[in-house]
Amino acid sequence: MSSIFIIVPIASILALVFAWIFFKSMMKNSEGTDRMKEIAQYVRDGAMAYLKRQYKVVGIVFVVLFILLAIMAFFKVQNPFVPIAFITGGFFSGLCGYLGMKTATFASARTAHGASQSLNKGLQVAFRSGAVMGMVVVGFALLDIAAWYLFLSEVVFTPAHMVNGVHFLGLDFVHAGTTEAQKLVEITTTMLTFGMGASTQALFARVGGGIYTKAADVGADLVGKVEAGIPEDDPRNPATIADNVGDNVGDVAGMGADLYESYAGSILATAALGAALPAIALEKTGINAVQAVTAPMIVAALGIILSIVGIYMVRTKESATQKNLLNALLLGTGGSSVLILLALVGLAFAGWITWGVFGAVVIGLAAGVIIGQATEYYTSDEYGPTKGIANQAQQGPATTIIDGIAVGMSSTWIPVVTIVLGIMGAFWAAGGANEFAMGVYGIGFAAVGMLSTLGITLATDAFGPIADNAGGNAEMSELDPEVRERTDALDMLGNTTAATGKGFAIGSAALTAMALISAYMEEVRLWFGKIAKGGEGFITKGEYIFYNDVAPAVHDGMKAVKISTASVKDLAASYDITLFNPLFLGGLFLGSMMAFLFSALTMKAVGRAAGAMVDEVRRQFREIKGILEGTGTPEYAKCVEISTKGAQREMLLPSLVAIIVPIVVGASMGVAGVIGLLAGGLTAGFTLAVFMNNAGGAWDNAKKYIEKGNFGGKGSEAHKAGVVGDTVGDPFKDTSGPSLNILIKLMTMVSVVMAGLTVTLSLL
Amino acid sequence: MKNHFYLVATPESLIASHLEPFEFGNYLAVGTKKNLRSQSVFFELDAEKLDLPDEYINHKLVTYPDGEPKRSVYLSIYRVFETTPLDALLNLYLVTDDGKVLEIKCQAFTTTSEKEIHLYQQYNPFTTQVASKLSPPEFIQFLTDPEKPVSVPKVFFVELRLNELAHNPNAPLNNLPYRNPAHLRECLMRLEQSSERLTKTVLRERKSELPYRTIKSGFYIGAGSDFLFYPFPPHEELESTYFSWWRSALVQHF
Repeated sequence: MSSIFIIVPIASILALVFAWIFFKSMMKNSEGTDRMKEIAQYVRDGAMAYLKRQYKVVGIVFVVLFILLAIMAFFKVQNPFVPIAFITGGFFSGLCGYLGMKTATFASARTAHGASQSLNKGLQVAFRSGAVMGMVVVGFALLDIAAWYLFLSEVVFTPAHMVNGVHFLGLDFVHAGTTEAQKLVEITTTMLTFGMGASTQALFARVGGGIYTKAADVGADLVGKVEAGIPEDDPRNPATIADNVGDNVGDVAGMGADLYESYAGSILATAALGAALPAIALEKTGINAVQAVTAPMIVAALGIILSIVGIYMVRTKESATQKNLLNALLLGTGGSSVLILLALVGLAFAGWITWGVFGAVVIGLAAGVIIGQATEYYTSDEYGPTKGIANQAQQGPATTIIDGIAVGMSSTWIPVVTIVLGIMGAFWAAGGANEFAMGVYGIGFAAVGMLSTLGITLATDAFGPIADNAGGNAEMSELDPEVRERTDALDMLGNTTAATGKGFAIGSAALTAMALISAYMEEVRLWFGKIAKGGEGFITKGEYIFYNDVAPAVHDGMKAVKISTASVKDLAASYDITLFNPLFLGGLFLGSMMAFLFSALTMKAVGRAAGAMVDEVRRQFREIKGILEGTGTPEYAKCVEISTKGAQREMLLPSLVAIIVPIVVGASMGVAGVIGLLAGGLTAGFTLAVFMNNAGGAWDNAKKYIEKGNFGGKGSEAHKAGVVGDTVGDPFKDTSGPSLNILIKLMTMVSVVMAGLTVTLSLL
Repeated sequence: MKNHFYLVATPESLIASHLEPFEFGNYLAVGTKKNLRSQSVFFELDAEKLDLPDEYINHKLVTYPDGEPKRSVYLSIYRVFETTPLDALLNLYLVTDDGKVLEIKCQAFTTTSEKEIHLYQQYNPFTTQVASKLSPPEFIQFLTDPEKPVSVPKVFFVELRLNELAHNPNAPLNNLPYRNPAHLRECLMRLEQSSERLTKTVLRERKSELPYRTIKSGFYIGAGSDFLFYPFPPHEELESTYFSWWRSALVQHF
């Protein structure tokens, strides 16, 4: 192990220590009045009830998948470490969601109370609480990665084990005769599978959270606001607590699990690509294989330390204006990004990464900023597209929908072009023109660079929902209007700073998925080696013969390639991964379809779950005396339970489809079909996700723009049309859109984990 | 239990009740089973100043066997405003859809010299919306002048905001949620262009509920030069003092 690697576990533990410090400092603040405490407790109870049930259902799914993976490992079509790696990925992701939610639900009343003192005080409480989430996510993700890396490299793949092999319970944990180069590939591809656990948990958290939050939101709005005519966040509305719980489970727990998966996925995929760099490429660049593998982890570790520095840079005077606060937040996030670039310069000088990889990271960061700004342009009411939707609302709901869809669709061009240029730029900057493997390594590294300061960018993302909940608490507790104005200001601040964070999240998801597809091919190569070893020492695929040590005799027209030096292009050629292969083309179509089918399933799920909530709220208004007079207490817990049950029931089908389809395609259409599926899923899913997120955001802000007093303001015909647009956009931006990025990566992760089965079946 | 008497404008009726004004407003809006919601505007009346059917009231306005108060006994539903003397009117109550009640006390009206176009939403005896060059007292006199071939014995109306449109019919609508703004502009323009014309009907009948946030000066009831003025609190006061009601009043209904 390299001595500098020690920074990785130290930084991850440091992150957790600071998460604890931030949590304790947040807890020292008062929760305010008894009413504020009471409401916060309702939300806390609801959130924990949701998580308990969610983890129960997800736990069952994990146990089933663990057994299936263990059976596959027994039949030698699966790495024996995978079942355990899968569980740890899911466990830490779930733990992050739990701790993030716990912090957020403790923070809302405290933020509201802080806002009653000053805007700065409110910001400090909300931001430090968001920082807990940020630190917990990066801390546990890197700790899990570091622990696995150390365990596999120092305990499992010891020199003695590599010579003699390790066999236990009939399973081959280490093959006898494993070389140093194979060791790194084995370690990184094993670790990559822990990403499947994280992705599976993330998909459940995002889909479940998305369904929950929208079911509660629609239920609260349709019956409470529209039928009974009571305002939002009114304690007389039985669904209002569920609505506030929903903000936590969707925006905090869901987002935390999502970014945990992105963060871990980008590091693991890049490490796997680093391990696969051919010796000739390493020789040219002057870095060794261990450096190529550990560099993304070291960059992530530096990112954690710089994120902590950035968090402490967010300081203002007590009398700070909103502009001061915004500048302070931008200084924190921008400052840590600049510092990470300087750290990368240091690593490049030290020879840990190439200058080309440094260039790839710069390109990645630039792409993230551009995507974030484009998102802001298409969804903020300060710019033409959203104002245009509001303008169209004067004609009625139909034109509002048409214009919103058009804005969402046109909003895809900047992110897509940016990602295309980013992929090409990172590929070429890293040296892809001369060495393909270096190019894709650069693409992976660009994603790692974008997410390296996730500790602080997630803090700015998560503090928005906390401020939003604080506003709800202030509303229900009937605090002074000044307090609500401040919590609203904090919420707006969160939306502004989150724009760049979103850009990084979206951009890194595309780049990571791209890197993961390349890593999948590495997994295929690994299984070629294992299958060849278990047979005659070589395998034949298409016009290629892949061999381990000794090249067999080849017929005319056949090409013999040593597996350890086989390039991705060789593997792709052996499976005929071209547009003229119906398996690949069919896979492309299926991948594109998956993005749409998955979105449809999640949107339908919201509709059904919301229906149950509507019935319950109506029942309570009908049967509980004195609700509207404020003398009767609604049964908040019933609504929380209905949303929870609905979310659990409805999240299963879309999530299982995302897991099963890649397995079925792999088994029936082979590697070409899987690559087609992943490429189709990535391109269609990415574009559809941008479309849905931006259309939903633009509809929401167009409605708010009208409510600010434009085109007739609240109660006007334009407002009614705006509300229709916002309602259509809700499941777009809060359920289906955010889940698509995870769908893309989960399908890739499942394919990686199931590569053994796919390759084995394709060779039969 | 104390007997209360209310003059309701939505729809016109004289009601006796055991409920206090805030409870009565909530009852009017959402009923007892909460299956309905509706905006209401009503006055509390001074029974001493009214000629009431005491015998009927004593017979009908009795508590339920379980001690529950009697919520409403209708005493009249026709030409009630016309026959109710102004000095019998106490406070005015504005009720939101979900039963939040705002109490407004009568105040002396202060005339302003500014010349502008006004928008009036009538509650009684018609529900016509009218744009006018006349100030509220002038408008009352104009409508209740018995010398005119078309007049009414008493009017009850509220003045609505026109903001910039009061001076410039082509100004942006901004925060005014009125239906068919093109028609409103046309009415204002025709009024502005004619020196003889004092009023112009904008809507013959109000079909939807009134967004309270569009109220400008307040409510007026009277005939000739004798009228009462109930000022609508400024938005800042509503935000700070009557926030619960104001939040409810701002909710969008469909």
